[in-house]
Amino acid sequence: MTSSPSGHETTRPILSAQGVQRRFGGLTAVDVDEFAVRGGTITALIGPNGAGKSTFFNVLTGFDRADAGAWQLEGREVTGLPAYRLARQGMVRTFQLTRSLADLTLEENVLLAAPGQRGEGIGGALFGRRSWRRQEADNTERARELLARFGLEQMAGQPAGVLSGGQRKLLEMARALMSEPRLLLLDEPMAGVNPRLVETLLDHIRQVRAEGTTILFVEHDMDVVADISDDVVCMAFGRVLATGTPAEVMRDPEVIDAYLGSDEADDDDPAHLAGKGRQP
Amino acid sequence: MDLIAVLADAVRAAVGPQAAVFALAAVGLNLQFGYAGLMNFGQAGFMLVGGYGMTVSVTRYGAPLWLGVLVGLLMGFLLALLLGVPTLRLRGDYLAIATIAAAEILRLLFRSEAAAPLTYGVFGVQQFASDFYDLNPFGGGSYGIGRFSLSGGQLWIALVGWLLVAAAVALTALLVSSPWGRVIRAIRNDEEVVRALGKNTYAYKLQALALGGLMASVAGMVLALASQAITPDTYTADLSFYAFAVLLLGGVGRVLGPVVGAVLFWLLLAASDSLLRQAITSGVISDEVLSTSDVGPIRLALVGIALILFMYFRAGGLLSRRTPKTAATAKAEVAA
Ligand SMILES: Nc1ncnc2c1ncn2[C@@H]1O[C@H](COP(=O)(O)OP(=O)(O)OP(=O)(O)O)[C@@H](O)[C@H]1O
Ligand SMILES: [Mg+2]
Repeated sequence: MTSSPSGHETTRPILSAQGVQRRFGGLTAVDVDEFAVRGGTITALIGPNGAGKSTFFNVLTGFDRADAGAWQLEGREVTGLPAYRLARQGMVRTFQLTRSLADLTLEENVLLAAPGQRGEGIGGALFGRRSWRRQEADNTERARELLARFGLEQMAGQPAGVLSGGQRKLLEMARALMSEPRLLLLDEPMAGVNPRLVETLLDHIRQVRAEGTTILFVEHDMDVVADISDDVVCMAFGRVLATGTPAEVMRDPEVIDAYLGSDEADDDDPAHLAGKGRQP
Repeated sequence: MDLIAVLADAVRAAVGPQAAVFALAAVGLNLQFGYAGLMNFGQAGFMLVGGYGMTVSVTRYGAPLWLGVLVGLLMGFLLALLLGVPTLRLRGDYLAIATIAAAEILRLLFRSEAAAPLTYGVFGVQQFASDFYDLNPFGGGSYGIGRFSLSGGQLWIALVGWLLVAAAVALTALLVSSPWGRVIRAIRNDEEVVRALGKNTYAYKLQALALGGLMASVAGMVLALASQAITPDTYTADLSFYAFAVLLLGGVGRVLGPVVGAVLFWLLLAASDSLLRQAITSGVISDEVLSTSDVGPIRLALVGIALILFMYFRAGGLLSRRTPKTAATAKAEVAA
């Protein structure tokens, strides 16, 4: 983030990427020269539909392969690692189209994510029963706390299949948090969540940051982006158009041209949006 | 018509070694399909390598029975690796195709002329289980009351078979109630979510396939011991489908489902068999309409009909917990 004028270099990036490309036939869905997320921030990834945001997420988290490029997590080279190993190293993602484990209860959904479970190997499951039982009790307590945090505690024993779309988003977030991520990648966490809940969700995200987790999230609602983000990265046609504070990015003529101008400016003047970013 | 005889036949089949064999194969399939969601249509192949691994070691190489059993288990494990390693990273359909093909290829290979020096070809081999029956503590007498009786040898193999079923069920119960079981149930729901949470889903699927395959290999050995004979054509694709039928009758993803299913399957099969035969011989059904040689296929058709009725009225099997409480009613409860 050398182009940033606002002292972004001061914290070292938790995630950095260089020259990442992903092509589908003739279409270059992702073509990112430089990308970095500062540790301890909330960073928003914005851009028009089809800009390549989800594909970029998939590549970074090992759910899709890159045709070129390299990326590092907390300084460690993690290029091309399989998804489960990236998750174990602390980079955990959620999906744009929510994926709940419908036959598992909400509690089981969240418990599944607990890291370092001793009963997850066949040997441990069979012969270390005492040991994992104790761990399971602690994990269950934490899972219940997380479910309560997202207002799902009364449904803890229900199969996740009965949840509504918005509730699934919340469950997915609780589940991701249970895995104690260092970097949390959220693909449109607010989509389909009712406006009053969005406020609570934003508070939760701020709280997660306060607890030391860095957040990178995709979002289309510019009010939300301006409200919560420390940094904003705007993508279009697979490339990074602009990087900076919300105010800077929303003032960027290229961004206005490619994203804000095209579908947002009709009802929201970009200057007004950028202004919001300056509010404390 | 002698309904007591029908009942006796049915009960004898339901507690006999055949039912134990089917239960074992279905317990393995339950772990693979019921919990991990793996489409294994080749349980017959695992049974075949188990049965032949044991028999060939004992008859061709003079190995003691216990060593033959170990060889059978090893063969089952190797087959699981052979099938799982290349396919489990791919979509689920690939495993289904690979398993169904491998089981058929193995059967054709084992009955081929070229393999006969090892496998005894089409006719197989008989009377190799004297080591096993020497251990029979029941002697040669008959056990039970009147028609409800088994010979000492039958009782011995049935006992061993059902003890093995109990062990497999206990192992399944311990595993599926553990965090390991939670991971494989989650994989059945959505593998990508599980990967996103840091689990090596490929390794888990391989473990489930191997464990279920080992159980089927044991089933194959019990089958060979029970009949004191082994031929490749015992292990046709039908056997794999019966394992599914047993699982579907009893309850998919329920620990005791396969056991209930196997008993039910053999009750149905033996009762309809006995009933039809009696009806034909006593003239209730004229042999113009049906001859005793038609009974074999017809009793299977009856099992098929039972399966369809189950799918209709009790999808998920006798032990299903889904039918009484559908997702919709559960939702309504939450709302209330
Ligand atoms: N598996 C695939 N095969 C072919 N093309 C793909 C594939 N996945 C994504 N694409 C293409 O890559 C481009 C970027 O898609 P992507 O889902 O990353 O966009 P996005 O920025 O997340 O959009 P949205 O805001 O609508 O979620 C799109 O043009 C899409 O059609
Ligand atoms: Mg997207």
